[in-house]
Amino acid sequence: MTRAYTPGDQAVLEQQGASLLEIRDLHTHFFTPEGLVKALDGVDLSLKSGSTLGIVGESGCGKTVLALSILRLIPDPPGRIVQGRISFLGRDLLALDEVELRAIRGNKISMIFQEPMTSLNPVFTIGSQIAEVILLHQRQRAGTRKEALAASVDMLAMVGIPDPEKRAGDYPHQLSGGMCQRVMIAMAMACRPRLLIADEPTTALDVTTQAQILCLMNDLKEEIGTSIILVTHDLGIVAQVCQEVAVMYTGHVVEHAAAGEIFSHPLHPYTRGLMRSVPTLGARFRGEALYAIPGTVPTFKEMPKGCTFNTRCPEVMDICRSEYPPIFCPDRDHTVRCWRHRSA
Amino acid sequence: MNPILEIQGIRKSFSLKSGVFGRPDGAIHAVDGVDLMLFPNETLGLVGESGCGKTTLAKLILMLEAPDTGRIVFDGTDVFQARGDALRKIRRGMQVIFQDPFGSLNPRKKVKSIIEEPMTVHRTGSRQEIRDRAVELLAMVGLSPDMLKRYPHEFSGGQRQRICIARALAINPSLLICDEPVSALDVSIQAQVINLLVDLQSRLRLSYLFISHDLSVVGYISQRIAVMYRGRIVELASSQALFDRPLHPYTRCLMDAVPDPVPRSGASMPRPASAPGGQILGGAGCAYRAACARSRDECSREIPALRETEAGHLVACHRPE
Repeated sequence: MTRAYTPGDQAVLEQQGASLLEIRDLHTHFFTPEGLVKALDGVDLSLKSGSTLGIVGESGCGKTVLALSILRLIPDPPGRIVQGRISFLGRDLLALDEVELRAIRGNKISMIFQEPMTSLNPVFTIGSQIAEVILLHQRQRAGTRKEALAASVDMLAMVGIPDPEKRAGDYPHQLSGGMCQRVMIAMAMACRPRLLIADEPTTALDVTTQAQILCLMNDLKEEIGTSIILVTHDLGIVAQVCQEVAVMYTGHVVEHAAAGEIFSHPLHPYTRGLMRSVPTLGARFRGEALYAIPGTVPTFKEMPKGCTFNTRCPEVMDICRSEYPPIFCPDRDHTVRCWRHRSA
Repeated sequence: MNPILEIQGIRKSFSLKSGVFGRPDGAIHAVDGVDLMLFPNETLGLVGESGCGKTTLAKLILMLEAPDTGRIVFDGTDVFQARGDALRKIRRGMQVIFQDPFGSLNPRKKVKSIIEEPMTVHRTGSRQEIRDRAVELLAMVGLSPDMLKRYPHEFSGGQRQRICIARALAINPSLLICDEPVSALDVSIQAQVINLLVDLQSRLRLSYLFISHDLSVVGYISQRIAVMYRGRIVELASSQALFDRPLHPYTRCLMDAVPDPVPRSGASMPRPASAPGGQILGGAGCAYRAACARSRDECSREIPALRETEAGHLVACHRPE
């Protein structure tokens, strides 16, 4: 069920195709007792309106820190965004104060997390948790608590929860993991955000539930026109739902391209390694060992000089051991941080 | 060839409690009549979604739960009848690797005592022999001997899983039950651990019962795969046959739901044909019928038995695909 939404979004829809989000040279550092951790070490990214961007990488590569940095949710101390620019619809998010930020969080940009069960408040009904978002941000749409509750029932129906009037009175523990994630999505979508950041939204769910949730996110994206940043470690999900892919490693975006391009012509040795590590049926019985990237992601203490992938890279050259590669653009709209692609 | 493990009609239910005094209020049939055989040097994959009874089945095999009815025969001995030396022999013969490498190692113990403990308990040799064996085991799983002096928190997830594997192998088991052993690991590390398991199997002639919800991992590592749904095996076939031609609608649904790491031309996800969630239909009839697009009257009358439709391909469905 659709309701009238704020006219402000209309203006935004007109700039379709323009960049919704621009991140330039973003550095987020954590000042821990053990030393300085450069969780993000110069990230450049842009997201077109109406697109889904997948951010891929292994744990500890900075995916979640990037997601949290966009919403300025980095706990300070120990973390701080020390440098860079995040512009969202032409405004610099890093220049906003706390009050201005609150008008954006959950309203223009919202986020869903990996653990649906722990992200919901156990002592409030799901209906009132969704209504809270609407009352906070969209007074003109639903002025009273009653109206907001009605709107939250609409949202529950929209995300495909059966019998929404009744379910709105349920507490989170009465729902399954998949249902909780639907509630999280309903809450995130309640204000029709321009950007949805989903941090591993389906990792805790079964495959069949995962397929339903991914479908739902796709449907809502088309219906509402929300752009999505999908943080995941699953290349399968990226292949199925994303138009663009950014591969992260040790706080850098090491490769960025359209999804079709990155799967057919992966350039960075890390991206190639990740793709080859996914087991496929029957490969073993053809006598092929599964490809594994040797070693592990370096911790901040053992970060190698030069390219941070040089200790695990099968194509390492001399220059990789001394200098971190800048961004090369061997193809239109395909960028990579690897010395191998310098010539182009 | 004689099976190393034979599971015959095993059942286990848990009573649901409600209210302050915990009055019994119905029961959950976690494992509801399972028959399976595992042969020497074979990997049998067990797939299914959370709550389908995979882990309960593993616990029954390991004698960590007592079944309501049914028999488990390991290496010719009924495990629930065995006492004394025979029981000790069975316990030495099967070991387990769990999903969470962070929760399954005692944080207060050094790697040395973690790996040596099963050998000390089973008195496999003198102190010196045990010490040498620990070094040998660490080398076998690709860790260096100086790591024996360290504590678990000093290791990454992949390394901890290697320690778990070394501990499981310490007393030369013939059967290893792997309960989601790579699910908590990153893709590149997952590949390393899978390769290690494959390599160890061929070197030590181990049998694996490989439990996972990840079809691509199970498909890669297993010779045969059993698909479990609500406490029952609904399909059992060789990996190749199962992926080429799944016969049970639930197996097909599971396979369709796995995102394919090859991008599609259209941007949209394939829509899941049927969702296996839904209400639990009790009583007679197929447990999957509420979600099944192919269900007919007969499906609500009788529980389909697991029967062989092709050589080595078993399915429990009235109307297989």
